[in-house]
Amino acid sequence: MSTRLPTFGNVGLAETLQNRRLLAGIVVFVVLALYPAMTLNAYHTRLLTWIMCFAIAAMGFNIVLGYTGLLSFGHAAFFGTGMYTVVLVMGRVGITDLVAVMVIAMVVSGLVGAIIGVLTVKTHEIYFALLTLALAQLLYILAVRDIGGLTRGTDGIGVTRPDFFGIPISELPAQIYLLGFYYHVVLVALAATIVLLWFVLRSPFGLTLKMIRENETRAEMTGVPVLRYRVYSMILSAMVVGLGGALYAVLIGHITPEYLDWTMSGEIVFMALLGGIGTFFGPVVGAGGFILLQELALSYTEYWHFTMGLVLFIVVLTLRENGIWGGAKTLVERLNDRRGEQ
Amino acid sequence: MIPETLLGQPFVLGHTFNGLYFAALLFFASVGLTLVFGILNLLNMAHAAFYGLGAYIAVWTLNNIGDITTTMVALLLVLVIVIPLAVFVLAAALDKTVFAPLYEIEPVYQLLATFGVILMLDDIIKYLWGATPISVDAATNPSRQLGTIDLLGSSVSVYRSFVILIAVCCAVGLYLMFVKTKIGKISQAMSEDYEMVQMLGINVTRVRVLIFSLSIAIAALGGALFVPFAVATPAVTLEYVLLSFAVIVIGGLGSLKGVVVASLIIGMVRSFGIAYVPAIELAIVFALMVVVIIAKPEGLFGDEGVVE
Repeated sequence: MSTRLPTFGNVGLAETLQNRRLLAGIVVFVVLALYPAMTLNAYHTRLLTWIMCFAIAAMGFNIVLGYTGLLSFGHAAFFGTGMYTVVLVMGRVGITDLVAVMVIAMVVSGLVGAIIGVLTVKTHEIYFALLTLALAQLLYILAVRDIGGLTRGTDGIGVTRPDFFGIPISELPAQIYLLGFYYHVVLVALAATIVLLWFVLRSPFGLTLKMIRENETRAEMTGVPVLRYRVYSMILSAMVVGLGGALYAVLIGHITPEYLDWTMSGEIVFMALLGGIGTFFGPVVGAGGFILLQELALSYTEYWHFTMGLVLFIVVLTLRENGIWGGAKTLVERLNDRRGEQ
Repeated sequence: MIPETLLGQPFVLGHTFNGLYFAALLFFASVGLTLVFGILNLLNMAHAAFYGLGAYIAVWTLNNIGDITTTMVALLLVLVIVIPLAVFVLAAALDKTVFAPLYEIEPVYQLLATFGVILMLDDIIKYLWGATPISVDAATNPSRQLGTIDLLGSSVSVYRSFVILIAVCCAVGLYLMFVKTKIGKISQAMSEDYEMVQMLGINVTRVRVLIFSLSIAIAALGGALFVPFAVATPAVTLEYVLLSFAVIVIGGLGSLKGVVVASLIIGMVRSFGIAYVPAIELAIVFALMVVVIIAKPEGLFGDEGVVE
């Protein structure tokens, strides 16, 4: 019954410690960490922070699509929950420590993920897509109509700057706050997400999710509690996406219900697909590709929707689950093979 | 205590009429979506975007037609015949080019690719007609020209009654097409076993283009009929994409009867919802969609054929 979307090689734990990859990762991390201090370019730093927030969200999303084989069209619910939790916890509850706020946002998103996970656990393929869409849309309507009086409807709510372990970073000048502090917080969050998911998705837990994706009936027959694992995968996914949303909320400083709308879900799907849902790093590459493409298209034309739609259409028809990251990997392998032959 | 006027006959009658009108629009927007899925196995997220396109074409046509004619019959013919025909031709061309490769891929990828088509159409509409809402001028607006009549103590819009009538004709016409004509029977067979029909030597591509274009044309017809009583905005497209999915899920994917019943349900829910619980009126629609998928995923009539 499962959608046969992506294909992964069976990567063992030994290979994960392959030095070359680890080294490359560390180099990329250090270069990124030094980037704002070296260039002092606020525009680029802001753009990178933005990309990294969505890279976290797209990776979280891909746990459900790439690893468990289910297309959710409702992940805006988790992204938006993360965002609104930040605002409400800081504004209403009065907790302003950044780390505490992020943890709470992840927990709340995880709870919403548990609820949506339980409700959707028996549906497959397009029914799963449409059910997640409908559930997320319910949350969106609650936020737009301001039911419960928490969201201030379409006007949205502003986000104040958080504290950091008692250090009054919120008093820093805007440029230094972004270049020197917040950018690095998001970078560390992304690195932590990557490392954590790398191990989680290669653990027996991650392999079980892949088994469910490949053949749900067989997984069931071999004694895997499929339904429970599907809920787990949704909770994990929701927590990661919620973290992305929470970090993004602090970055942009103003929240509207649009981040709960289904077009937002569509954008998250788009990012993961663009980078490659069948690859581990694909969603990160996809988030970068999506946002850079959007910025590029916007600088030439106001009709960037058309460009994005065309790219999505072409990616679906050509690269499919490989995305640009998978496509690039295949290309490099082929070039290597050819060089080997000579 | 509910005031007596709220329970009074004219009030309830008015909401029932609004509900029927809204159901008619939903029927136009979603019937093609369910037919294309049921018969051709294509889940076209962009389907209702052609409802939006029809609305824009209608505004443009009616606002430019004033010099040629302002006769009511001509205006209505433009909305009911000319615009759907034009979109039919456009859809046939699109089926041969843009949509052709989508028939081969999995439903999940169909959803994603057609989401891309929505984005493209959205900008094409903005490029042609701008992002600000546009509406039909009073001089060539059939809805304003026809006015209202008095029915059982409440005033009823003649134009909107006409729209309801066209929707009923359209539903009956489709039903007759499926049970009486050869092409309809071939389509039914295709929904059962596409490859078998192909092997019997029937040109399935021709039937496919016909069903697809007809479906899109009906969506455009709905948009064209909708716009004299409303305004065309880019948001219309997105709203109807969502609502049409609610309709076909509640009715059951691939069922003509399902679309009719679900359109009526959602039409009434929204009409009475707007009157009595305006804050959560849309939420009821999606809650209904959630309940149906969880409790009866095949929808009200989804386990039956196209017309049973």
